[in-house]
Amino acid sequence: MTTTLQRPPATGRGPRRSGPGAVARFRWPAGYVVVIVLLFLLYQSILPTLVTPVANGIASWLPVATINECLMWAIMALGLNVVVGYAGLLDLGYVAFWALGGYTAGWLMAAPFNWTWNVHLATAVPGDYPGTHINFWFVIIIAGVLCAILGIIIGAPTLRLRGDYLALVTLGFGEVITQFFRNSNNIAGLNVAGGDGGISSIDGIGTGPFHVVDKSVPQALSIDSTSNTYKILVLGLLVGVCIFVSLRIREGRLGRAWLAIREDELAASMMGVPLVRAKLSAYAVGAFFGGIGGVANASGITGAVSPSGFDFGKSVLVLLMVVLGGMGNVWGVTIGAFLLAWLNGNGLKQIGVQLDSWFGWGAETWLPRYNFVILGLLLVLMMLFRREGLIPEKRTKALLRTPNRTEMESVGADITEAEAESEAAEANSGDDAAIASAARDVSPVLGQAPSARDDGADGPDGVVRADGAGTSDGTGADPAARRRDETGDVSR
Amino acid sequence: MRIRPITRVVAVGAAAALTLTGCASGNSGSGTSSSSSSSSSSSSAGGGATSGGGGGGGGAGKTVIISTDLPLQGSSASQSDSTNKLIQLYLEQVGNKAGNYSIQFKAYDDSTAAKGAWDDAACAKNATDHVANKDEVAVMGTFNSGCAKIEVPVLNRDTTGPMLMVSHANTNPGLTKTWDTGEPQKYYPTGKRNYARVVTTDDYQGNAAAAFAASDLKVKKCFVLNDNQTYGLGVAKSFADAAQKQGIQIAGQQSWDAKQPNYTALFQSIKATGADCVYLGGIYDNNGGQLIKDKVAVLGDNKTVKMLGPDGFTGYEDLLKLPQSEGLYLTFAGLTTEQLVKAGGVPAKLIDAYTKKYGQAPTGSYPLYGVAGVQVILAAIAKSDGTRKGVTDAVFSGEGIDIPQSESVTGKEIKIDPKSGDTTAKDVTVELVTGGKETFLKAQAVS
Amino acid sequence: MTALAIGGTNRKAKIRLGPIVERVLGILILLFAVYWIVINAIDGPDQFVGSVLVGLQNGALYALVALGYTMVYGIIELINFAHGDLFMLASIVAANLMVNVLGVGDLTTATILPLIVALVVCMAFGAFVNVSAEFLAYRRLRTAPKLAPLMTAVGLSFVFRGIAQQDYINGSTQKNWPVNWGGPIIEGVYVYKLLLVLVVTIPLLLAMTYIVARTRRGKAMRAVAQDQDGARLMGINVNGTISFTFALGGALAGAAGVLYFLVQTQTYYDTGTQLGLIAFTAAVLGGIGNLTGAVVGGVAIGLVQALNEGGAHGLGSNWSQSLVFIILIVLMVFKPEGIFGRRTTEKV
Repeated sequence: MTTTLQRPPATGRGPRRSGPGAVARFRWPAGYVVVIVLLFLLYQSILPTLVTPVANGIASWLPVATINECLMWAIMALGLNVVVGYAGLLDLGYVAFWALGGYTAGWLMAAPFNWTWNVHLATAVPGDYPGTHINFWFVIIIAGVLCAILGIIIGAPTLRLRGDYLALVTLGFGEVITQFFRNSNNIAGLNVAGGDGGISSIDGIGTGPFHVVDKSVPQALSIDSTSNTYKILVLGLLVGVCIFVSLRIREGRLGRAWLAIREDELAASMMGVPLVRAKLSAYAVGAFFGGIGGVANASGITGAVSPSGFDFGKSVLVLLMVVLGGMGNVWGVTIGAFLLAWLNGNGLKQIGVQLDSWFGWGAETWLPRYNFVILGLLLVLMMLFRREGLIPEKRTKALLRTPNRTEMESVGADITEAEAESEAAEANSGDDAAIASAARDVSPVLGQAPSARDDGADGPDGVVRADGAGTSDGTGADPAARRRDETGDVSR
Repeated sequence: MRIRPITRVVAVGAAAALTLTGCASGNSGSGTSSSSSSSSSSSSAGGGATSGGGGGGGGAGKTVIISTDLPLQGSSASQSDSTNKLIQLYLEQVGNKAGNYSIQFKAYDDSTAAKGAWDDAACAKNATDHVANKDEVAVMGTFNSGCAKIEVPVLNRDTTGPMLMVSHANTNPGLTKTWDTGEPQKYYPTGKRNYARVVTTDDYQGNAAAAFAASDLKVKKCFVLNDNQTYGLGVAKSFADAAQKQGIQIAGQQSWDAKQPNYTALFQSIKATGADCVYLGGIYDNNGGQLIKDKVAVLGDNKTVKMLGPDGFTGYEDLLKLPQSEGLYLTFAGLTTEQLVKAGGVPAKLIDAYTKKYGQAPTGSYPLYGVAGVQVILAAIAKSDGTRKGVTDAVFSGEGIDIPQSESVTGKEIKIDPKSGDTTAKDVTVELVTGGKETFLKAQAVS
Repeated sequence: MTALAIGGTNRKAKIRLGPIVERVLGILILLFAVYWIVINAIDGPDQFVGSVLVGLQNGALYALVALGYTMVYGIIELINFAHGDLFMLASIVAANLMVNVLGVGDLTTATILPLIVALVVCMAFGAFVNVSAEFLAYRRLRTAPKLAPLMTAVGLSFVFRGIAQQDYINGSTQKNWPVNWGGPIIEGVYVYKLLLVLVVTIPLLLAMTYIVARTRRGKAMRAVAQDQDGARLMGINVNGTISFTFALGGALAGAAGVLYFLVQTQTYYDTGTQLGLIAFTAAVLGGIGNLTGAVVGGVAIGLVQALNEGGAHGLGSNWSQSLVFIILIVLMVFKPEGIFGRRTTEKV
């Protein structure tokens, strides 16, 4: 039996389990902390001592600024993962939350753009400095809450409708929020957010007690190379929290409700999952993460916000991170974010430089220009050949790889035969079989359910296609396991 | 066998580290030009500059780097490219030296291909790189005021500085003088100035355009449009204010949305106001072509209803090809390349050399101002002790920098005000688009 | 358990109140829209006439794009995000073909022949690209969850944009072509422009309606839309029918591309996303899947936008996009089935 946290909810009743589960709970945080600290040490202490060629190589392939960008994008990808990966709601305007988060930072922790008062709250900025300056950590929470509210407002009218409408509305919303901020220098005569110029001179992240303890830590992490190194720790912490929340929430009641909705909305609602509430929560949680990402970007990466940074391309970039990494898999998504953020920020250019040094193609200038084409093709190819992502979530894999039942039915295959086949296929991977058997152990009746269920519960093909999540059940063990889970859930 | 997530993370980390070291050794030959943000032109420039510096390096003291920070991709690419080439040419001409110091040149790119324009993350990253690059003492740039607003505070906070930035194209007044709330103090967190520019600001350009409209065109009622961007709003506002002072009635002010397919309806509402002049405050890139076409379709040609634009509409081949642009008046903050060449002297020689080397004249009028920015930087380096602080102080203390007319590439004395960093030369040229060309009409006096 | 039960009763109570509030609000919004149009007409009659003409012209363009969306959505329920960008590519092909190959400059009656050539070529181009996309990508994803083809479409749209953005194709700013219109102008609208758009759009709409409603192929398309498996059992070539639908959609995008280029004399890589969003809103407004609805919706949105920009009481051009979006949201809330659509209930 697996001891990782990544197992599906069926086996994820962690607290009631003893021994290995409890140890596993500390395994990833420990590993994660080690990775982040190693990264920090690499840039802080090891890099200056390395021989020049190696140090230059690292500095040009993976500059600190890019690491920070990667970490910031990881927050965004984890947020979108909740919406797309967990709940299966396609959001094409995720950049809107990023923007609102950034502007919240602009409003609450920057030099003035239209007001003259001075408000200071637990901040590293000198007291006589004009403008509103509130501590980074407060701003993060405020931005998160604001974005969550916005997410609910946007999600509410569309959630009754089919999933693809949601995609379109969110796309429109992403466009409109840019327009709003672009026009924001004159909303009914008020300068709300500085218009096209946006808000510049946003405070860095205050280090507070750490600066007191160790004077070599800058007082505020603004935009320079020393601060950038320390930002690895701060942003790493934020990513860690996001990962933790993602993992925990997925195992909880809400997370299982999301997965149920993703896999079959109709069946989920039959099982008593409150659809609207669950979807709205997915939206709110995703938006919350987006807000955090926005603050991290405005305060930590650019030090300014302006509407031109929030275009459709960014939304698709985040989506691609989720898809590439593996929808629903926290680790996959994090790695997908790192990979693509690097490729988008520094990687393509650097690959071009490398190609130039080998072949002399002049690729450094033209390769980055194909950014859109490369990202688009990647998305298409992933969809065609590896829909489950680089590191697939097991559940998604089962869902996406299993042939559509109704399709088989339509070509004349016997249903039970197909069931048997796919179950046999699943049994090859040990975990699935274990889950299946575990499910049967607990609830023998439901364990036999697949064949019984197929006769009655699902309608004809057209109906399945018509609903939002639009997928028929994965066959075999997983649905059974989930079902057991949900029944357990309701009776709690 | 399932791999555990942590193992995966570690494995990926290890793989990345391995790749890095592998690549690093492969990369070791490229030396100083391996900075991530330097573009291809920079690596060639770096090479050229190094050899140049080596040639004259016998008696010279320390070597310092000056850099440019321009959008090398997207619509401003050709102008930026010309600027870089012209600067390199100029540096070669002066022997890559300033006083006792050898000069190396490095080009940064503040745009991304995906956006086709400057990008705030790229600007922030460049700012960090400028500060981190120990030998770099000053930056010539940026092209866009928005980018400067991100970079200036970062350079200002540099503990070994502040680091000097001289811009050849930022016309937004807020960077150096009181304009919007908190400006310009918020760009200088240390309280010391480190930003200078060699172009006149938008407010002068708007004033000049208004004066021209009132005295030469004798218009009565103007409708002021803006592209809703920092630059466009700035010129539109200053034009509207100045026009009212000149006795021109402002029929209305509105923004045009660059993403709209057409503006026929917008001009219909302008027609209803009975305006006899339209001011286009903005950049041609923001769908200016469609704007001009629809203006002519609805309001008639530019003789009946006059059309004026700022320097955001200058230097575009595309615009000149439009038959509807015939009769469009443009202002330019400074003197055009054409004028400077006609006047002879230093600028003419430089342009000649450029044309000889590259087979065509530099694009637009900003490349020469880029060289002017470099002249200011070189003068500052010559006056200084070769440190960042010294270079900045050379500009912002005492008399400041003064480049006499006989040496200046703008054909006029360049004097930087040590208090604000603004240039004292306030030239605004009025051009008329006619016969598919921008022709010099008059040099407008600025009040 | 108890919590859920309470939730259940709450929802029941809401259902009684909900529709009434919804209906009242819906009628209020409709009344406000009518009032806004009337007050615009009274306060600025000249502007109103001009805006209506502009609205008709733009609206017909939106309608053409919307037709393509609705066509594909009606059959396989896929929002073809790449449709807008295909239309944008077609406009670039049209521009290069007409100006660089056929040497069109000033538009006169002699331009009609090149125009027909361009229409044929671009429609073929659009159909070819769309069918290839269907064959290479969407077909393999027919059994996949809905998210997969949707994301594929987004990916393709990105690829198209990326290609158009290259400097040797169109570059990242608007490219204006030296094509000039003549003839009478009413309130800044070239009469011939408007005529051309209508002359192409209306026959295409009629042709599409005919194909779908009257021909054998159309019957097959409707059957596939209803139930793919059922259609297959009835001996209908499902793959062929879907390909045919994509071909029609692509051809419509091609035609729209030619018209867009001629009306705007401009090409731009981002046009597809902008117009795509508007066109989809138009399709939803008219009732998605309904051909006449798409045209009516397109014209309605064109009119509202034009009035907003040119009317006496408009918000101005910089809020146009937001206005379209607000229309979309209001529709989603009050009438998700659109003007001509029928409310469908999901059967279980």
